[in-house]
Amino acid sequence: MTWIARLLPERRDRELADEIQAHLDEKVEALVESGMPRVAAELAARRAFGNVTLTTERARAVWRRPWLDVWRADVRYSCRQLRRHRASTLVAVASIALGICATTAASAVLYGVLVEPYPYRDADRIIHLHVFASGGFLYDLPLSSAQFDEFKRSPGVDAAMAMDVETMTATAGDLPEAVNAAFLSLDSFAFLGVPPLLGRTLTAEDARDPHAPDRVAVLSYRFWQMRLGGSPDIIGRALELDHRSYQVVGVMPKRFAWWNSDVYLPLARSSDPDRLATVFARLPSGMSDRRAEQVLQPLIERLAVERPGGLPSEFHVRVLHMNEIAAGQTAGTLRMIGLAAVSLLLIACANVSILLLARGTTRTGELVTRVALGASRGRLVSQLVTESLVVSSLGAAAGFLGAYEIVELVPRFLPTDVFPAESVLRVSVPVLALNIAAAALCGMAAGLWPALEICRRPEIFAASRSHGSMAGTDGSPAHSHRALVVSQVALAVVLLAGAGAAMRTLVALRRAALNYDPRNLSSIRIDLRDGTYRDWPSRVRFFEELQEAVGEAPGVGPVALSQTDLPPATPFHSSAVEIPGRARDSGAAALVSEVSENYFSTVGLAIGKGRPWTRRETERAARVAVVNAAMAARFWPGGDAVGQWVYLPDLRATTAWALAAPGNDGWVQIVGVAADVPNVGLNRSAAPAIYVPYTLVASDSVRIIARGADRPYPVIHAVAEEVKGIDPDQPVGPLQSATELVDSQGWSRERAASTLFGLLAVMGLLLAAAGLYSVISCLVAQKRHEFSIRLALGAERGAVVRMVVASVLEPTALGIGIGVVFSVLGDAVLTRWTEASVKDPWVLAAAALALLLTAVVAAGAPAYRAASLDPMAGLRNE
Amino acid sequence: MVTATVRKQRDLFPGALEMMILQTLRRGPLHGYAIAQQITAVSDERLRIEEGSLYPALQRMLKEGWVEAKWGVSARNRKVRLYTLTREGAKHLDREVSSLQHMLEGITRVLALARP
Repeated sequence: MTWIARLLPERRDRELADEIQAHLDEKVEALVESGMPRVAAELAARRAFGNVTLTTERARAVWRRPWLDVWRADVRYSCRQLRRHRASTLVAVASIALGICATTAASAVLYGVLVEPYPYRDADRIIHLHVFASGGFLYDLPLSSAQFDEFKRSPGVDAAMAMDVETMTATAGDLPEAVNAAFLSLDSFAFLGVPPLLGRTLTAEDARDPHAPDRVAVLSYRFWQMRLGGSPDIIGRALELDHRSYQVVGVMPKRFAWWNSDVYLPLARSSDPDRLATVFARLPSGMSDRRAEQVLQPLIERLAVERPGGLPSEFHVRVLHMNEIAAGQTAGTLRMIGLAAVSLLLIACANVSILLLARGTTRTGELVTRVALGASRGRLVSQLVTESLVVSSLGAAAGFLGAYEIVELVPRFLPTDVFPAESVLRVSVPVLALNIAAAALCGMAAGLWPALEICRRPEIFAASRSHGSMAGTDGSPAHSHRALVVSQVALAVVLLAGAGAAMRTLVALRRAALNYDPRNLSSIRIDLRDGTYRDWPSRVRFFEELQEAVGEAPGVGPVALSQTDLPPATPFHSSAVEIPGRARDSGAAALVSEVSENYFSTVGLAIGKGRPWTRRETERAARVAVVNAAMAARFWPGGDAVGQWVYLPDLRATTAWALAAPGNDGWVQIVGVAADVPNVGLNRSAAPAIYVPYTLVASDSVRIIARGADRPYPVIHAVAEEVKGIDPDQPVGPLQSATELVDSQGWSRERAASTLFGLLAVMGLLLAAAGLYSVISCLVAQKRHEFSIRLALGAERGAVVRMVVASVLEPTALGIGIGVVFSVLGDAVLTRWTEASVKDPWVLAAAALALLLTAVVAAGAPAYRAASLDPMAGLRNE
Repeated sequence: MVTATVRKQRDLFPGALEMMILQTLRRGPLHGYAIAQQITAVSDERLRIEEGSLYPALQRMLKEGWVEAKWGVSARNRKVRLYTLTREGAKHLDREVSSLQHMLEGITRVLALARP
């Protein structure tokens, strides 16, 4: 530990002193030995040595890092200064704390959702293959086993995995429980690159016969915890799914939540060209998306030929990154909130500058003294910058603590579908580093400007005036104050305008016409187990029987079937639309909903023209359809939609899980026109949509839609009972209430955005108010003398109040003007990210009014102080 | 005043004291007072060095790593700090000496030429 001791200055100093003393003693002794009297010897030794103190000091100085000592002194002095002005320090520290808290929390969310949402290896290069049809709809691109092998060899991909998801039933317990299973190709875990928490992942060893892999299962952390109690000796135990026993070989860590599945099973190779699997691929490093699309296009075109009807006739390949999918539409909103947080930090920064400047004006005396004692301009600047750095460090520390807490709460504020299950929101090291840098930058900037400003004042270096309280009546400090106030006000206007725009979007969504009645309406998903009801007649019979049985249960109103979620969810399928006798319109496409005939009456969707189809027509899969008003208006503007035939090429598609009806050739005749319900978001007019009998393409996943008599909940019981009566092994999916769906799909995102935005804007307004208040207080303090004279000469107190208020209104008005201009200019950026517009004149007017009111309120107390000055006291001060 | 009769002394150039100390230490470890004694004795009192000025120089050289110090005992049995030349110090000394000689040679030549 000696090397540590050597670093300590105390020890070094002591050794030096001992050494010098030894030197003197030696010399004295030598002189005494040569015959000199001791007293004379001591004097001579000292004379020969020189000034002991000076020598010691110089020797010590060798080790000293002067900047460190100076800096330490500066920090000590700053702390003393800040303690002396407690109130203003508190305001400055609180401002920075709020600002840093906001930016830290926002950057933690941005980082967790946009930068690193997934734990998977090279997640930024993982893509989900899609094709983009000419009609503007995206098609998922599943491949058969043979196609997948070919795809994997393409130079456009580095590695790939295939997945098929299915709902299975845990059959060991008393009640059948639905288990979300993901069948993964055996290279998937290597592809994803996440090591297991317990046991092992799936490997090629698990499929010695690729067509019948071993019955082994890897569990998700959630499933292991929730259903199996997190038992540590789970490895090797059996799990019964669909009456078949699977051996548990591994458990994945918490963050591995691929596709929100419960269990991961080996995907069997299939020679059936209709058995398709979803494909994920990793692009080769360094390959651009455009290049990859060019490379993959000819391959996919060739594969499309093998499966007619599976893909639109014209398409181009489009790579969609997992990271993009993660954030989806939320990305823009999140970025905007990030920007808002940065604006808040800037306002906070200006507050620190304002307070330093304000203190600077009353501090001229001190600065003059320091200059007189030999302080250079640089020393003064560094002293003032140190003060602001101390403020920003204190504020940042508080802000970080706050952000740690707040980040935990953020997921509760935002709808669950905003984040992928894998994303982790926390103040991670990169986030912390970024914000420490931001706080340091803030502290520097907030300190440097007032420091230079103060040091430019002539009275400090001219030393002509010795007394500080008189200084500052010239324009310069007021000038920089003004600039700060103007920028604060401008930023606050932008924040308020953004918040206002978000709120208006929300209000518009809430007022959007649904055109159906979501009350007490709910849907329950029934996913058939793989291998059951494999032929079209038995599948249709099962669903029809089930529908009838549920409809007769007590407490259940009308019942219908649908293969897609309730509105306002966008239907899963879309199709090109071809109309006989018309040139093929390359953009013609419609969203397809496969429903039963009573869907319209159950949901409360009015048929404006024509009729819905009949029960009979559902049962025999008649080639009929109902279009929505948007589709009728788009393709038959003359109003003669009913009776027309249209060709939907994508309706013929057959896969292992969707059975086309005998006689389904893709042609349907329109029998009715239904009202528009929102299907691409509440704030957009409905896209063309077409409803066809679900029996035309009977899928293995159907939703039972039912309206409860007064509550939606009896429905789930009825459905569970009836399903059990017909097929005891068939699990029942979760219930989704239409009102909740409207909430989550319709406006929960916007509600969260306006809440967060509103919060940031209110904080911005408060900080700006604090800034305005301290500027005016400072002004009143400076002009005390002037006001006293005015009052002594008979000025009305009201006139003084007006003067003070006017002095703040002018920069406020300028700030509002600049803020409005910025909002309008920034609108172009915002509209790229969100649908909200900040150009709305009402929103801007409201923001301006809010700031004017804030300015008047902030000016109130100082103005009153100015007006109630005792003129004689003010004059006597001279 | 006595100083009037004494030959006027020039200040040492920067680094000269360090060179002399290092050279002195070449013969073996010494303590501060002994170094001062050596330099005075060897220079035949032509250089009058304030003894105290050794110490800042020694601290500088410690910091540079040219010398090392450890506590030992002097000839008079007093606890003193003994300084030892390090390899780095020896190298530095060689460089300094050769550059000084080079410079002196140059100055000497110019002076010789300028003599009438």
